Amino acid sequence: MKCRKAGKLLSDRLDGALVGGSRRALEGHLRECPSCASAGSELRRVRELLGEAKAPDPGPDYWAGFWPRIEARLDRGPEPAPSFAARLRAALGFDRFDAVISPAPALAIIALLCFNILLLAQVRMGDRRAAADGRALSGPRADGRRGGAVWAARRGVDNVLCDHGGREGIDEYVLQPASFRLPAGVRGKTDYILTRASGPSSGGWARGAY
Amino acid sequence: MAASDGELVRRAKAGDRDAFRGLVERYRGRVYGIARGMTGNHGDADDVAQETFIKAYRKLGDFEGQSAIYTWLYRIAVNSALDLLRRKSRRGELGLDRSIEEAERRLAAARKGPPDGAAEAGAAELRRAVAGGLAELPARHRAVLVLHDIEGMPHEEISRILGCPPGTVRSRLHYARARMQRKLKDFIG
Repeated sequence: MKCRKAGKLLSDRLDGALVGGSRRALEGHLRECPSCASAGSELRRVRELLGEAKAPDPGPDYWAGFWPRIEARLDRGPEPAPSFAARLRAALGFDRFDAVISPAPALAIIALLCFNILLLAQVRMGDRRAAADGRALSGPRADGRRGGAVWAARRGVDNVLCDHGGREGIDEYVLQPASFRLPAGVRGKTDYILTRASGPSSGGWARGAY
Repeated sequence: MAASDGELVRRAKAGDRDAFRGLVERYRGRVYGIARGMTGNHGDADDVAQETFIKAYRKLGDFEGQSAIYTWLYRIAVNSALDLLRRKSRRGELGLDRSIEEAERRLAAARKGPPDGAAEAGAAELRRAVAGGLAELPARHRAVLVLHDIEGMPHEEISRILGCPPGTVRSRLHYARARMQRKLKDFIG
């Protein structure tokens, strides 16, 4: 038997749970291996120490009050089951806080989420408000058709119809809601049109040709 | 002649509060010992011991006698202690309870008899070392070590209490003792 296997059996041997061939093999190994024999003695000492570490009896005064406290709780009746909110707080780890301040972290998170949603909505609405009066939208200048289209794409503005006839690099484009000035004869869903800031439309319109 | 466990259980299930008290007084010491070993301090042990008997009273109707009543009680005690340890872990309260020393002093003052300074100090130091080692063990390994090496229960009884095979009990015991061996090296002669 090798030391590695012997080490794993020492605990069972200590408890008298090792029998038969395994016990004989281990005993034979311990006779020949001082290191494992020492390990076995140490393990026995650990078990003795653990037995000595048993906490002392708390004493007659403690026990005198033990049953009366149990009886008092039984007389009060069953404690009400924790509410869903209390169980949720416990599951999220918020029960470490006072009841007064425990809702604070959840409320803070909710407030932050609402703020971000409002901010995003305002940015989108701000974009549309700017577009409605024909001014170029905030952000990078709509430098040409391609610049305007890229700008629109970055802001998640889609369904854009583009005036294809403008002069690239020369004409400034503006993104406007389609309800503002939808060219005649246009088919398909159109939310915005990308049109030249000044001058008449070229008459050529295209989608996604950026 | 004292009533048997079976008689006390039968009467307690029928609503005899005195019969239930008889069970409490018969097993409170062992339940407290298990709770004390698992939690490492008197305050938590008291909470767990009280909680164990309250739960046992309320669930007595579910006890069908497939195990001994004390196996059932000790199982409730271990689970109650594990619940407390989990709650404390979530709150970041785990680790060696610094109130152990204060609680020990209060208990020692409450007990009768002359103090033996040196022996008490040595025993207290050992208990602190053991409590520290136990606190670092995974809960299931701690339970096995407490039930076997501190409370002196056999493997088969522990396997019934914990609901795991005797082989698992022995395996956890082996692991837990190896960890404690390192923790108690200063005490090993």
